[in-house]
Amino acid sequence: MIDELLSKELETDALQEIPINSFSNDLEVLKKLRLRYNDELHKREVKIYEELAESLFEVRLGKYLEDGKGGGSFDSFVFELLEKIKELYISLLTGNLVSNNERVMCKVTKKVIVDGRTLDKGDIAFLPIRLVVPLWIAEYIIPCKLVDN
Amino acid sequence: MFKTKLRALKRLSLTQKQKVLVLDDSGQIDLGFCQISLYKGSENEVPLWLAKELERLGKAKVNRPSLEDLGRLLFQEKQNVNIPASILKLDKDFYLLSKFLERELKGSNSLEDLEKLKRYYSVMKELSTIRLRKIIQLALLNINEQNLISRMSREEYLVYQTVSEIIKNYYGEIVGNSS
Repeated sequence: MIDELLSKELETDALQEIPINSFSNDLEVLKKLRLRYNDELHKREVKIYEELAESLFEVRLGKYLEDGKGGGSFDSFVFELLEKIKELYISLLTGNLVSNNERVMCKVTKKVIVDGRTLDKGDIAFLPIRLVVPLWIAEYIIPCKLVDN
Repeated sequence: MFKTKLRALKRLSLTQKQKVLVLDDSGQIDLGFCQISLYKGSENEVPLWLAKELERLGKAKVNRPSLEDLGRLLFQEKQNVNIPASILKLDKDFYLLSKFLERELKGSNSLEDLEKLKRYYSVMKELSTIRLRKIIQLALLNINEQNLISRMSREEYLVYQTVSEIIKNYYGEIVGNSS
């Protein structure tokens, strides 16, 4: 159960390995609770589990930020995304992106429509930074760097 | 991380089972992971979040420390105020359970309860301050006996862990000796 996962996470310094099958049975119970009941008591119960999940996320994120180690768990995708965001953040602040005001030069790797304009594979475009992050994560673009590390 | 962990601990405490005296029939409640039967006059163990809801609805009363219990604890804790290892054993959810008494006194209109509420705040302040001093001392002295740790509430243990970690990092990362 989420409370046990959170309790374990709080007891240890290192990130715990949490395979998805370790809580898949609990998911069925929680799905039933959500679908079967609509009264205030059960809404409160679901809220309790949501808050536990939120805390598990926060505690694991805190550990990851302190130690830089993640992976091996159901939520390794979160840490992979954070690595990308961190990389972009560092490049942006240290002048390693080809940029113009708040736009960053990017190479398009998959056809995509941005703000009504079609960008084809191989195109080069200056995109707003707020769009660069999700499009890069979804692998539609690659931000152009001055020097590749 | 302290605030994040404290929030997590508080949320975790809400899932811990606590004793309640059932004041009114609620019948059987399906909580998904377990079923609970609550019938008037019985004593049951229910998750704290449910206990809070039931008490709010006047259907149960959570087992909590009384003002006299708190006074006794303070008196005993004061006996060896400068000996950290003399720290008394508290319930893991002592501070959360004490809040039920605070709420009860706050909700009352009687002058007597107002006086009790003042006394409650004063006792809790003194008790928590004495214990905090002992806990910080235990961490500073690097005393990590399970016997002592098991006497702390969840929040107090978090303070102990945090201070210990600061000291460990101070010597390990700053001074360069993690002994």
